[in-house]
Amino acid sequence: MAEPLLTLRDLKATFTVPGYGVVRAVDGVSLEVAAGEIVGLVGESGCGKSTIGRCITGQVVPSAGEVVLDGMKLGRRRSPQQRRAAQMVFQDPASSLNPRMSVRAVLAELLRVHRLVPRDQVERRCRELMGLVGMPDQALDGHPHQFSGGQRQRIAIARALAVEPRLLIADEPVSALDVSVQATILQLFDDLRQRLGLAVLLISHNLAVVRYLSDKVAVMYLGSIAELAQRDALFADPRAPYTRVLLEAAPRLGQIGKTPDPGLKGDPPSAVNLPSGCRFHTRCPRAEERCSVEEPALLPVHDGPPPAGGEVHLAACHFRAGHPGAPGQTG
Amino acid sequence: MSAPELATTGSSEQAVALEGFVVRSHPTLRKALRNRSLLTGGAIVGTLVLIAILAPWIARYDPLQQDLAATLQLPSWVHWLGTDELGRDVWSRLVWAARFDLATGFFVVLFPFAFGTLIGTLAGYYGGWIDTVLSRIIDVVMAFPYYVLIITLVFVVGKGIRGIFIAFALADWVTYARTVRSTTLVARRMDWAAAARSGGLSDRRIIVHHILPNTITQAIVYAMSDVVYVILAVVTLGYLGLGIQAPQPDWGSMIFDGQLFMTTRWWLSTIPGLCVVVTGIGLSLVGDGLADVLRPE
Repeated sequence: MAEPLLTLRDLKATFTVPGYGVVRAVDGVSLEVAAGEIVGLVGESGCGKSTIGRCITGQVVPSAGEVVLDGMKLGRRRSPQQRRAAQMVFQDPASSLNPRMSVRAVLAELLRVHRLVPRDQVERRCRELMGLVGMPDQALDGHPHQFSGGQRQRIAIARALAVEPRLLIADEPVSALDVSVQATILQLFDDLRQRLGLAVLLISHNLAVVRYLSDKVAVMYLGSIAELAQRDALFADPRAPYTRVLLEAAPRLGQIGKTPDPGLKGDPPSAVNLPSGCRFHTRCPRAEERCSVEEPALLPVHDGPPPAGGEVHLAACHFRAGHPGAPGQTG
Repeated sequence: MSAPELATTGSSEQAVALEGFVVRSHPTLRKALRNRSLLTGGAIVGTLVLIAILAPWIARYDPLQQDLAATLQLPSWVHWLGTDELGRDVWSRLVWAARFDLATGFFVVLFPFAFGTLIGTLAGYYGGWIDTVLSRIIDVVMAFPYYVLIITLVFVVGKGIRGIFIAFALADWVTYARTVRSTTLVARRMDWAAAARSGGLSDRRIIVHHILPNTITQAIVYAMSDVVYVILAVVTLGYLGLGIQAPQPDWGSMIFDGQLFMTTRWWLSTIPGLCVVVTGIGLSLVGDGLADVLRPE
């Protein structure tokens, strides 16, 4: 496989909360995203998935580890060139656009400042960006309050695209939208990936969203990756107990009258005092003596060389090799 | 919700067409023309400003021209509001005082407005030690009672317009700084501010083009009431003999000079006082109206 577009190497992010302690929001995450690939990042709220996105865009300074994007190591101080490479699409459409600026003003400023197109081409490019996200040209004259949530999200995506990024970080991009609009926005991401070769890091707590769009999925728990695999492998044959619980807890249509087994009881432990051993052992239905002592590494679930063309299936569990009752996995 | 349900909702183009949208022209202007406070206040302040500008033509006499043979005259066709104790035409003095007090109010406010907005923006945007240092300075200035501080400063710097200007420059910017700082703190946490930063824009550009248009409206609204405060302070200082120095006509000194004759020539004090009240009401209405009109939707 060629050099990945984005590489996170043992990324850590900690926050000191006065009078509380040190929160380890991201605790040693390594992840690769290839060009044109959509990688889903799922987990409960507070598991650090948003913080990873913020580390990539530089809103949060990692306390350790590396962010390498498009061959550039992104540090604390970033050149405009480096900042452009990864763009964020935010969750809340109400605060993602400046109420005082017209859509044209926002887009044209980015195009001019970075000299992305010659001056006389700015207007044409603005229209082009509107076209890319499925908005009409007249929308350029509008201000945020004139648009619906879905339209704002499209405009926010156009703004992200204006600086010609290689990677889009979508942090819960549809969770604030109506279900009918969610699908169109998700399709837009898929569209953009195909037309522009854009890579997307899709951060969401919604398994359906991630399943719909992602090539590869990383499941996070308490700041670290519990399982990482190709989408189909992960949903068909989850190996980390946390992933299985998560999948079972997701509501599905056709289950009328059946309340899904919550599986997980209580809230995740505090990220200040991480549990010893496996960080999931306090809530894991399969936990044994060993789990509270020895922390499992994120390792391949299958022995031998990775399947051709496919990604390795990794899980952080002592019992990743097989579960009683789990369907057999064929390479 | 599962994957197939997500996929069946139709193409993006359809959804956009369904959501629909209208682009209205100049929404702020239209809101302004519908706002009653703003219109009423604007009419009052506009009239006063017009009177102030046209003072040389509206005033019928030289406001400084004394006529000791005709002091304390009753209102008549010759002297619309009578004459004061030095035989000066009260109507002419009132009109010239309007010119002077309004101009003083607006110009005195300019420096605190600009400087306070700058300091508040820097403190709110950069945070950290810059904010700590600037906020402590603001706290120290705020710790003094406002009028006592102004009066003391005028006393130290010197009476008259120069003293007033310097006193307000030193004491009045903190209110702007504090207001703008808190709105900047809110603005810079917005996702659009993060987007501007990750879009590779410089701090200066983000502050000037993105943050300030959202925060300065607060300062503008406050400036309207601040003009009232300044005029009141000038009037108060004039009353205390620290303000505008004779023979320059000014509402405050007119109130002060007239009070000796309160029982027989009550209008000498009362009418300049009413002028202050009307100005205050006008500017407050403009401030209220602007707050409504400029509030982002």
